[in-house]
Amino acid sequence: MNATQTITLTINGKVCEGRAGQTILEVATANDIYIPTLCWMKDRSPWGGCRMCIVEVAGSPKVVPACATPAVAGSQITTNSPRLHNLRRMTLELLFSERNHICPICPMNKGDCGLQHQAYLHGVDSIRFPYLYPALPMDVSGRYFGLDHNRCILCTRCVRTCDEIEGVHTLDIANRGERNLIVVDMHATFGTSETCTSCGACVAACPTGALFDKAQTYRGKLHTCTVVKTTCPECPVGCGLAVYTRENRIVEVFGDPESPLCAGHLCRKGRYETWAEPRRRITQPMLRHNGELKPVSWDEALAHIRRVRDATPVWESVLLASPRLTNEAGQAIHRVADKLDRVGVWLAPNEGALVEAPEPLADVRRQLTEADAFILLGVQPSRDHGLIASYVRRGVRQRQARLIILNCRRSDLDRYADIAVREVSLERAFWAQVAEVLRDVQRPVLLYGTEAMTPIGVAVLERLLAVFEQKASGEAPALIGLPIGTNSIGLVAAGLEAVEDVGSWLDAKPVRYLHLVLGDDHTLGERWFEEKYRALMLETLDLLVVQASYESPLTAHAHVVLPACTWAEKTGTVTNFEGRTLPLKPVIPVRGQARDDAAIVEAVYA
Amino acid sequence: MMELQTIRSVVTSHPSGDARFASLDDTIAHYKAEPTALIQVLHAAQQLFGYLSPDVLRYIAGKLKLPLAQVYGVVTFYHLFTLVPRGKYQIMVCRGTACHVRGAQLILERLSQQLGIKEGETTKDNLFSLHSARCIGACAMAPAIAIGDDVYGKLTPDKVPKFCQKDLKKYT
Ligand code: SF4
Ligand code: SF4
Ligand code: SF4
Ligand code: FES
Ligand code: FES
Repeated sequence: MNATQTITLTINGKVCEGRAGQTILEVATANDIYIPTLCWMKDRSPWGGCRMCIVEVAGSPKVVPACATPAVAGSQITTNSPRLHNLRRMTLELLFSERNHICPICPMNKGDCGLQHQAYLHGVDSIRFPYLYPALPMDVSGRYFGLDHNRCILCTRCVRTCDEIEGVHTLDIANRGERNLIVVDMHATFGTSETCTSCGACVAACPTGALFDKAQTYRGKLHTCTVVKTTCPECPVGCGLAVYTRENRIVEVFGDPESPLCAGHLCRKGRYETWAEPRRRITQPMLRHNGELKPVSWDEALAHIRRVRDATPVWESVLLASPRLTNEAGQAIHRVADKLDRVGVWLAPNEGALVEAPEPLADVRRQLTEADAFILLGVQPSRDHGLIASYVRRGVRQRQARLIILNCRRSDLDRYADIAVREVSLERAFWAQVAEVLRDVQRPVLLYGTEAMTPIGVAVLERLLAVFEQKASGEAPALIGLPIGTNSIGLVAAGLEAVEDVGSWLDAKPVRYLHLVLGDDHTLGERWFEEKYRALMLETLDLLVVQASYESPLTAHAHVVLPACTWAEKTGTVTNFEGRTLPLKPVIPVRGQARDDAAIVEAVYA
Repeated sequence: MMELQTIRSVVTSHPSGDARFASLDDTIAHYKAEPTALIQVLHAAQQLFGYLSPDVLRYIAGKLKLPLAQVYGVVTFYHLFTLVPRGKYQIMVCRGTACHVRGAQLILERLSQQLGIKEGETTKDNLFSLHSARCIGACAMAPAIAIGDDVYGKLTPDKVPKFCQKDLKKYT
């Protein structure tokens, strides 16, 4: 049967067109006919377990699940009849009687719950079966989300999502029959799981209150929130975010289903680190006075900076920016560069060569979804680019793609690898093995990161490309470079100097005025103090200006602290690893007296 | 230093050096480490080790490249597999209908009290473990219990202490 072949069938007396291979549910949906579902979910394999979607097929005494039954040309289907209604109602009553579905005290109550929604649709006003209510445990050990087995309807949406989207398969169903329970690994908890990446995709997939985000719980109904689409500020992949807000607060962050690469999926950083981490916000300018930081007005803070700058020669003044800033902030910094000796962006070691004028990439989604081999060179997708790691896992686990990991740190991906080597040797025997693994590969993808930019990394890359050149068949590998900083590419393009080693950059010449533009960076403030410049800074500087959204050890040492907007408050763009310009949109109003990074830079150097 | 793991081709055995793992490796190799051979491999492991410890399951999951949760799901689906060591002898208390109506639950409770273990547990000397079962085919003797091929019938809770002192002594 040809997959593009059109078929015709009748649903509720209406003639409907579909494609061969589609399920009854897909054809009905495409023809605006509603069939209730619970366990079905878009882009997941059908399960056919909940039996909400049952339909009648003329000539067959049995009802069939529409989500798991192929549409047959010429068939006559009924999606609503008194019989179907009664069967569905009974199914719902059984689900309600099985565990604790006392809605008033469930975080999903009033409109967010798939089960409750179906109960309303089917007029379930009483339950004819005895309630079982087994006392089941609750797992709240995870940092961001919990699992209340008492609300679980065993629809396996979480299991299939974890397996098929994040590609991990942390979850499964244990035991049998009435003792069925969702299990994490081998009866672990989320807090102790060896495999869970905390991507939260299972929580987003759960139709009931069983899996719930702790930070969202009891903050009101999601479906009455304002939703704004913006770009994830946490890494250079730049996934699309759908941010849910109420009363100017972020209530939940999901992936944007329309975002081309992520298609609704996010990693832990985008899904939770953006909003569900406790951080102390800076909302007003502060000035050190008698050794203590005191709140002051913007005018006072700016006047103080101006006084010190007037007394400090330009050649002793530098500005260092976080790689998270927007392109617009980068351009603003570049415009005032003549008022400073140097303006730099703080990159990771060896990141410079990766972000200086990279070729724009095209077709990355297709490459990642069709690859039959992934080669990782000096890159840590599980840690730095979660979404990319999920593509690798999916490829290996669903399409049996080959996986070769060279010069990367240990990660969960090693488990799936054909070859995983910490430090590659350039011996011939080794490359013969690599060639053997890649022999039948047609569509390879080479993901490389900062450690591919070292002299050794470059030598390995050359050997690798030589392997491909000698192959009898197959395409040359698609080369995908993955920087670490969210907007390292955009900021270097805006004219900021790439600084990999801050210590020697600062040591190169005496510095008396230092302006650190952290923006909403929540790691640099800590990282600074892990390294060796601490003493230098505090001893020799006349003025340390820290422009930041969050308190950190660095702001605690500053002479002047300037409050900056977070990703959720600013307008601007970032440039992702493909070279695409992605928009940041304000999701909530600016907190306190915070200002946009570009505006602050303009005001300081006006 | 080079650390090479060509996981799909080089077979590295369990670090403990336990010979039973070598034997398990043979079974895995026999099935070419195909994930579809999970049940056969689990079966072999249970024969070798007596039960399926987390360590053994993790080892099998690694070798067959299967997720831990999936392996655990399969193990807990089949009654045949056990996650805890079973005693040398398994005391099966029948809970079929005939035995149930004649007080199987009380027999189970009394046995549990006498042996100092709950259902599913094993005595400290690893001799007995306590289980319940569906009808064991001795309804005429209900309530009945079975130890291996031996069936004991027409029990009452009060007979249980004597049963433990006398009949169980035969099993060593
Ligand atoms: S958070 Fe992600 S990795 Fe963890 S169980 Fe859920 S879907 Fe799987
Ligand atoms: S936890 Fe949620 S998604 Fe998973 S099976 Fe239960 S109800 Fe379904
Ligand atoms: S992969 Fe990067 S862009 Fe996507 S959610 Fe994770 S941190 Fe954000
Ligand atoms: S939606 Fe079809 S069986 Fe659950
Ligand atoms: S019911 Fe116990 S032996 Fe049949």
